[in-house]
Amino acid sequence: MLVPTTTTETVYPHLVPDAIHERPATRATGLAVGCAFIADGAGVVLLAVADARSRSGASGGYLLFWAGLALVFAPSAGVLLLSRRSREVRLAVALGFGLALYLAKVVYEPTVFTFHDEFAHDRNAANLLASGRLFGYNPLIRATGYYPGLAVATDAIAHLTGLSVYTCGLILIGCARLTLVGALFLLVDELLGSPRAAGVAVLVYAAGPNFLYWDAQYGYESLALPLAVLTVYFLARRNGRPPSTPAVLSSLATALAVVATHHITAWVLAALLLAWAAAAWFRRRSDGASAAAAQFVPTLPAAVTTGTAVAWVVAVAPITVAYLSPVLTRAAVQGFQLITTFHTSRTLFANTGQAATAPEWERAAAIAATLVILVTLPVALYRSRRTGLPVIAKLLAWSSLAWVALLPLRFTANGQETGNRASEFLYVGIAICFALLLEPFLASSRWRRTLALCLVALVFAGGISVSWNYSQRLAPDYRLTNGSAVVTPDDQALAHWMLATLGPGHRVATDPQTGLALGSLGRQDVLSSAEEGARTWLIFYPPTVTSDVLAEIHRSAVQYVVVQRDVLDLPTGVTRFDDSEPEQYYNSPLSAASLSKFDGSPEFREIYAAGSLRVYQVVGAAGGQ
Amino acid sequence: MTSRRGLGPQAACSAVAIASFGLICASSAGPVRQIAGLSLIGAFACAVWLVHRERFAAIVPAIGLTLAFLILAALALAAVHALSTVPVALVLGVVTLAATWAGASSRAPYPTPSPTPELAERRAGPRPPNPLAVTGVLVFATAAVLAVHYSAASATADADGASSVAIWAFPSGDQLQVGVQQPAGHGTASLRITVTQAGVTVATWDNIRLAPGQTWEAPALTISGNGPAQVLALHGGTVVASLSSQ
Repeated sequence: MLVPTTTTETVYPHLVPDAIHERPATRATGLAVGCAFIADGAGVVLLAVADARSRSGASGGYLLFWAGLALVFAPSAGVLLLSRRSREVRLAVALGFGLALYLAKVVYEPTVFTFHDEFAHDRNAANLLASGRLFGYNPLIRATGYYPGLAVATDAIAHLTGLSVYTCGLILIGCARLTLVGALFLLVDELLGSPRAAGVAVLVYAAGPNFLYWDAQYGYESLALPLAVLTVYFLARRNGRPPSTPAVLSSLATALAVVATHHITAWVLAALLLAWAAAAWFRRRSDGASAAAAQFVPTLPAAVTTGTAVAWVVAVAPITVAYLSPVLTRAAVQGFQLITTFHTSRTLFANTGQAATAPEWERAAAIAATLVILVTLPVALYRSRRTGLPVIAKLLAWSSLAWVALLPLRFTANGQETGNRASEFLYVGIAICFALLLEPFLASSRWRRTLALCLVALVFAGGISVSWNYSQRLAPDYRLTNGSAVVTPDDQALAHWMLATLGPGHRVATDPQTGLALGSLGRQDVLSSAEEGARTWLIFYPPTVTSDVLAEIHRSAVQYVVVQRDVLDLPTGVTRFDDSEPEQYYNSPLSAASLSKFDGSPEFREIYAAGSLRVYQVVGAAGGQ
Repeated sequence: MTSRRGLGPQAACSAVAIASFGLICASSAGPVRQIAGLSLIGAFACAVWLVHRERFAAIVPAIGLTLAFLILAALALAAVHALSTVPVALVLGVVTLAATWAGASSRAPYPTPSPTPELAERRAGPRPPNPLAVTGVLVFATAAVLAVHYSAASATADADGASSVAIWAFPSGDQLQVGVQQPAGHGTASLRITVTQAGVTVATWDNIRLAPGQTWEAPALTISGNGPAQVLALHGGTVVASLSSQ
């Protein structure tokens, strides 16, 4: 039984001698922390060099990337798993570890936002800075505009400091990363009564596929998730006893911030608090009167979080339902088909087109890590039944089974995103299961502790292997990259030019990547099939300027058409302009005439040219202005 | 009950908050403003941490509550269209002062210490930081700054190197606005810009010297006739950018 082991000698058998020899122990503690931090710094430097080499087309980036991660992981894991350091030391090392992994994303592209969702959130912050009004129009992901927590916090820092939105975003998400790692450590420490178990939880959570890049990006989930974990930490107490009034008030503040920041995180938090309240209430009823007084039922936080989350969707962001339901429906349909017909629509580790695929050892590590998790979970859950864990600890541990249930979605084309995106929530439960199982190992012999370290290292390596598409894991070399696959410097220059010369808010038809730059940096209203039902493909695919082309331009009130000629080099089998493209179009090569047809048409005036980009102003009868 | 020893940090926190507020209101964008803004946010986090400063772990809720407060306060200000420098600084400064002094006598919102070995150490109060650990943290911070700086320089150089010469020509009233931009990563270039209409040269600008990142705009050009105008940017006889404006 884990929790009741409360005596110092039991949990830390070697601590008493350390206390006697305080000075050497203090020096050793300082050395351990110092070495871990120095290794973190060296790891970040290696990661920066890896990205720089990748950017310039030099070799060796891949090896440096893994060497950098190993430098960050190994010394921190050594302190967290193998040593007998104090709680404070472990927390400090865990924070350094989390921050170093955040910097892995920063050095990927330290000058501008680069991931898809970052452009959408940049637009929200820019809208708010420019107008001072909430809920501005966002053509890239409309729903994000109705969850302004990230934008208002960014703008508050921007107003205070005068720094750019990008720099404020880096500071904000960096603080959120510290909160996430620290709150998870403290939560597990509180629930399981072991800083060593908390260290295990942090390392395993960092092995989640979305920890390295996705949840380090400038996105609303990156800010909301740490606050959600902090909310639970404020309320959680060992043996389920009630928290103090300030703690409950603090949890309400963080929960409200979550509701205003990210939809799914708010719903997950509300569901967790409701389940916690229900389970605690049942336990209180089943236990005797003496236990009832000690059992905390989080009725108020659950009611406030659920109530505000529902009210927010109904009154402020009803668009959320239309935004999320297609994604979840597609995942459910393909998941159902997978179960009933064993029909898979996706090959694991597959890349589209000519993109490089991950090496064999990474695939092996990813599969091995998955198997380790699958073996660990039932054993840990069985163990958790026999311990006197608090209700919330058991709930979180059992939530890890949802990760197992969603695992088959990885074999479906439309469901893999849902399965992947759920992991940042469900890895909290997985981390607690590993902490439950490995904690006794770490208090035993050296070889057992080493075995535990190897298992966690394997899970970490496997998680990194599936963290990001292999071909995009290091910074891109813009000279070799297809301009329709990433946002290029020419896209950014065009966006700045359009904003400065033509002003914001023009209706623009273009490809998705150019649209990201124009929609965020350029603050133009790019067409989107997902957000407004526009059929951008109908403008670009025909080889001549047909009446259908002009009709769609008129219907969508297009003022400018921006052509990225690199779209011609995209492989068949992937959509080129928007997700509503008919299959027969994107499964066939795109003719050059489809993109050059605007040159000779009297309906269009070419006004800008740079590299493979061309901008055409819509004139004449088709003009939507 | 607050001891006399505990008032020093609170006074310092208050002083930083007041000074930062004054600097934010008095200075325009620049390093002073940046430091003052970050100091005010840091002072708020410190005010929250001071509630239970004996515990290093209290730094985590302090950071998280700072984020939550920034979200909720900025949301409230934005809702009344008051999200600007002075209101944000005023709210943050006032709440920092209130939290600093109110927190001195309140209970910490964090769980009581777990039965871990340093319990006795906690009861003894805060300990001075370990020099070796501090050295490690400083090395980490230095390495991180150097890594980000190096990476930023590398990313900027590579992005500039991959940029193209941009040329534009668009009508404004009955005139044609012509311009060209040299990418930052390219060297200084001498360009020749020609505007032709129906095979006839309408305007030529020779020897336009553009430094990296520099933009050149032609004097407004009046074009008569209905044919398309072709604009070429040439460098040593080679066309580096062109467009045909109807």
